[in-house]
Amino acid sequence: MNQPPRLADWLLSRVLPLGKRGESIRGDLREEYRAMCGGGRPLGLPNLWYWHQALRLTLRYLTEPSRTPALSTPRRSPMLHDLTSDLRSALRLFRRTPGTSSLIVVTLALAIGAATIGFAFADLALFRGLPVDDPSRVVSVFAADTHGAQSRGRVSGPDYLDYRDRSQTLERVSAFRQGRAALIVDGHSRTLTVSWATGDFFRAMGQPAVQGRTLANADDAPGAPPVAVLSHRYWQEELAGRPDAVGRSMQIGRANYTVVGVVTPAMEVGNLAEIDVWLPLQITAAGARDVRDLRFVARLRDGVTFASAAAELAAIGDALATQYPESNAGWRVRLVPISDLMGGDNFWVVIALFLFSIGLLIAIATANVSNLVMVRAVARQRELAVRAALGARSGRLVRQLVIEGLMLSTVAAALAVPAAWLGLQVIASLSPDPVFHQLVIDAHEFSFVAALALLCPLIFSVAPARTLARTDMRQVLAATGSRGSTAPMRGRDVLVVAQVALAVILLTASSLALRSVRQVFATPTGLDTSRVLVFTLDFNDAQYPAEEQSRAAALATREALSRVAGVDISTMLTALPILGAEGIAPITVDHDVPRLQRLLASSPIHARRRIEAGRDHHRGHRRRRGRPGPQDARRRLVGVERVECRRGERGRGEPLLWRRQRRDRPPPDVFPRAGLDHRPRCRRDQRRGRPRHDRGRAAARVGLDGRAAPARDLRPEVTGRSRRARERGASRRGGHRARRADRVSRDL
Amino acid sequence: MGGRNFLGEFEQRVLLAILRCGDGAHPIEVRREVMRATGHEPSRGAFYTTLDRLDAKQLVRWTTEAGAEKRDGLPQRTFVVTPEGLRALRASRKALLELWSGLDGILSEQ
Repeated sequence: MNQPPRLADWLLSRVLPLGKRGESIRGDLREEYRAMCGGGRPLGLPNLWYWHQALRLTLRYLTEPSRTPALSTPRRSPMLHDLTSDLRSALRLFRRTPGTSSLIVVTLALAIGAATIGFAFADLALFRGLPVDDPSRVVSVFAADTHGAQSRGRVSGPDYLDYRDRSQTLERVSAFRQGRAALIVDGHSRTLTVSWATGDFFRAMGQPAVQGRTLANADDAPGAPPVAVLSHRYWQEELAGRPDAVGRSMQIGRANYTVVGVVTPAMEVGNLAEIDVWLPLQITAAGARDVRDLRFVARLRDGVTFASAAAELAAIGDALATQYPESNAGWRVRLVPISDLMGGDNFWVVIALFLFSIGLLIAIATANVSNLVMVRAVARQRELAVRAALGARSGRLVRQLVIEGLMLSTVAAALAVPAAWLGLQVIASLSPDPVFHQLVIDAHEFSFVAALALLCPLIFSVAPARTLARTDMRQVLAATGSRGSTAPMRGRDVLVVAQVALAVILLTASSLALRSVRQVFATPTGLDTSRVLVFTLDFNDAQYPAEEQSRAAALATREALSRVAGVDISTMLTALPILGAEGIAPITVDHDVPRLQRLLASSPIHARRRIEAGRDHHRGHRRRRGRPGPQDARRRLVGVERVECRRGERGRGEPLLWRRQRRDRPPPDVFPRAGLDHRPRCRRDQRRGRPRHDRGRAAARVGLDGRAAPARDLRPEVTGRSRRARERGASRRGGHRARRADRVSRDL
Repeated sequence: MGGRNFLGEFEQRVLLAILRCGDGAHPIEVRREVMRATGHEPSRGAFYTTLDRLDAKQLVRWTTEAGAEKRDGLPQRTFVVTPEGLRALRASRKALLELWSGLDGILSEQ
């Protein structure tokens, strides 16, 4: 036999009179419910009907003034009795003015929902923080060049070893870097997002394993057996959370790794959420010091302050600069508390503006609701005057108004939570950025909504309460009409003015922000992206161990693409114009300074780019400097290089040449993986793989002395390397630095 | 008729429906009878609270019997109109007829 909705039935059992009276009503409802369920009809309609009846009965019995004392319930305290009476009054008012009440609820629900979405962003940045145990003791170490071009640069492997060995204030010193690697399964490969970390990394972060163990110090020693630690997400999605995953073998690249554990899901925050597998990072002192590709975290020893650790590392950095001037001169070490890593240096400004916008939104909503409540209070002046004449004190009347507001805001909050959840789902579906997928509605957001539900009624009940307190009830009672006076009041005018002012502020700020974004996107870059399709292909070391093999496969892929009907030009590039990976390396120019000065006077930006020979002619590319010639023809599959010059500043005096560099030769692991499985790993990757024209970042990056780069210097060839590939590229480009420096000098 | 037992319009309808249902004046049937006679479906909330109000005024009396399986054993009430209820109905009818009388010229349908 079909059962009615249990929650609705429970609600009825709590609201209806006790004893056989209430039970018989419930029995009547069940009898009619079963009659509706007859004939094999679907249960949706009867259940909906039952809920409808339950809610209507609840509303009726809650608002029905009790004519007889409840015999079976104990006598309540006067305060509870007054509270119940106010609640009944509020429910009666809701029934009596459903239009106004619904408008108030919808207004508050939309405002609280929107504010909750905004709070979810701030919560992710401010309160969730990084997956670190006791973050006040954890610091991140950066390499910063003295000219300020990089304030949070990465650290080279040998420098990391020196800092680790010489520091007396830090413990659990660890480094890691992120990249990609090929997982080989049954002869097929798929790309994994991998983080290579030293053995102390998880102990520095204070994060345990949920299965097996994390990386240990012995794992990153030379000759140690290769082990891997899975991320919790990868373990769940790819291995269905099987406990026998620990101990299995994985072929990653050319080596077979043994899975030794699964790391806690608490690690999956920010970029760390993208990592599939953690592998040990082996660092040797023989590496290049100018290849700065490691992130560096450590814990302060007990009793050590942040300032003393920063001073010690600065001293070590100065010693290294003296010891290795070619690679370390001009670089200093910078210690940053890991809690400050979320966002940039001025991230708090963004968050503050965000929270300010939320506050404005709530202020507008409460002003609007306050206006509505005041109108209703004015219309109820006679009713309230009668209550005052019967002995109700003004405090009691104000309390009634507040309780009415609380009831409305509670309903609005209950609607705001699903509205906010829906909004976050829409945002996540529209944006490929992983940060939007980490926005959730959890205890923090529920607390925020509850706080707003408590705060809003207090705010929007103030103005009506003040109006009531100032009203002469005798005049109201003496006035004609049963609904009280509707004469205009100063409080309402103030509310309207405040509401309009707040709305204008918010709209102005929003329109300015939108205008800025639109202008950034409208900045001409010279990129003709019409009819350009973009995709990313990867080769891997396992399938193409030799560079020539990967190069041949890349060329074969290009030729195959050029034969596809409808394809006009197919070309490949290691880095995107504007969006590609690039780094900045200072080069002191000690010769031909007059020519450099002439160059600076003629153009702030000196740009060259090298793509596949001959390909740019098909596009009508006009070189700013130089012509395509045999030298270019000999270059195959080279990247883009842009040279920027500016005067030496910040007190140095000598002209400096700043070179934005990109790799000439792409590493094999980011080359196309022809003939293999090119399917995106997940929907998120699929979205990320599509072309992105992030002109905002480009405009900020290309600028020199505050001016944007000439758009004609930049053209699209092939777009669409993923961010991971760019990061990977950034980590490898330092190996060609000396050769490029020579070339740049020749160009000058 | 004392002021205490003054009948509202809906109360009169419910009392009359109980009388028309006879011995089987269960709430479901009474409500159905009200709906049939007036062409308007009263809400259950208004109907049950009116029954409670009539009970409080001692104009109706109810007894319970064990519920059937379709009611999951929940009791079923059967209502009867008390003598006070009958008196109130008579008084109300009389008052209304007094008020109606002599107005046929105005209220009769053309």
